[in-house]
Amino acid sequence: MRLIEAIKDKPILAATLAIGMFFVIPIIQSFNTSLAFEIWFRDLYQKPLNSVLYIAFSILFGMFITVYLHSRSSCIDCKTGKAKSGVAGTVLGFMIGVCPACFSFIGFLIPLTASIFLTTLAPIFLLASIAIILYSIFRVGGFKSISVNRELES
Amino acid sequence: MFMNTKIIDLVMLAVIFIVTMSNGIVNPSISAQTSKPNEGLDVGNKAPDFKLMGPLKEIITKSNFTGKPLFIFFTATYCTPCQIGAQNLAKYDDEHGGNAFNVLIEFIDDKETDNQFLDWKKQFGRDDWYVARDIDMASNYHVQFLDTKYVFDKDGIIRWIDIKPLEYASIGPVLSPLL
Repeated sequence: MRLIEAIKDKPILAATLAIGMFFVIPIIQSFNTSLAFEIWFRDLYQKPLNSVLYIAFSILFGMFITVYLHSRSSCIDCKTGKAKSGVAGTVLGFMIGVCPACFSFIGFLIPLTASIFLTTLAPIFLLASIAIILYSIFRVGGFKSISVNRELES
Repeated sequence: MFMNTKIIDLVMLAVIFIVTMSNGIVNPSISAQTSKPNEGLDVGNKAPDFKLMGPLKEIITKSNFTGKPLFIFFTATYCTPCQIGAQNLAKYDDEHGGNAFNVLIEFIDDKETDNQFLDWKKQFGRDDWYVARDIDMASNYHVQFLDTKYVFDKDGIIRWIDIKPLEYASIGPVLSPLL
């Protein structure tokens, strides 16, 4: 599978992207408060469902970008231009994945009652983000077998 | 096509970053004084009246708090920054005898229950803190985020408004001049 090949080809990139996405919220929040990482780890502990989904989302994000870059450089049939949905999934998961009412990303844009409502739906939005990223990996050819791609290349 | 995607990525990240940073920049963490205590929601204004019902069906009004500073926390039980802030406030409260100022925890998620509020108080607050739920008060006080905080002086004048997670070090400069 091209996804596996891409990760084997650039494992450090995939891991760095996944870890980076996982910590991007507390890193940005740390500009605003010294409590950012304490808040982040408490959130992970108190909301295990969200945490598991956010970890999965981060890992898939790392995979998606890795396979996207790999496809650009070595896959002639891959639809690298169809990756916008992956960006949409990333933004959705990033902004609504944890607690929109607690953090400032969404709070500035919508009323409090709406951000509280979104907070309760965070797992659903994370699932949607995961689905979008999986779809994007599919679109860039990540689930294609290597032999098919090599036949196309030859 | 790749360039378009890259540009969209960069624009979205820039928007997120700017929005986040602007939170810190425009944060109304102010402690200015004014001479005319007109009713309003700015620092120096006389705070609007409120009437709340606590989980034990007790009536809580602004006049209950006259004579001591009042720290109001707008929150929800699941708000983790608020939990940490409340623990920091509880620590400060203990260090000042536990009776130097009042605390009102105002819950603003209408799906939460009185038992959740009492559990929250037991876990993160102190026995003498007031808790209540009233969405209208949050609306009247223009609360836009969980973790919004107001501090009134002993006369009910607003002396501080803040939306950042409450660090222990930031409590003293706000409350000590009012005690």
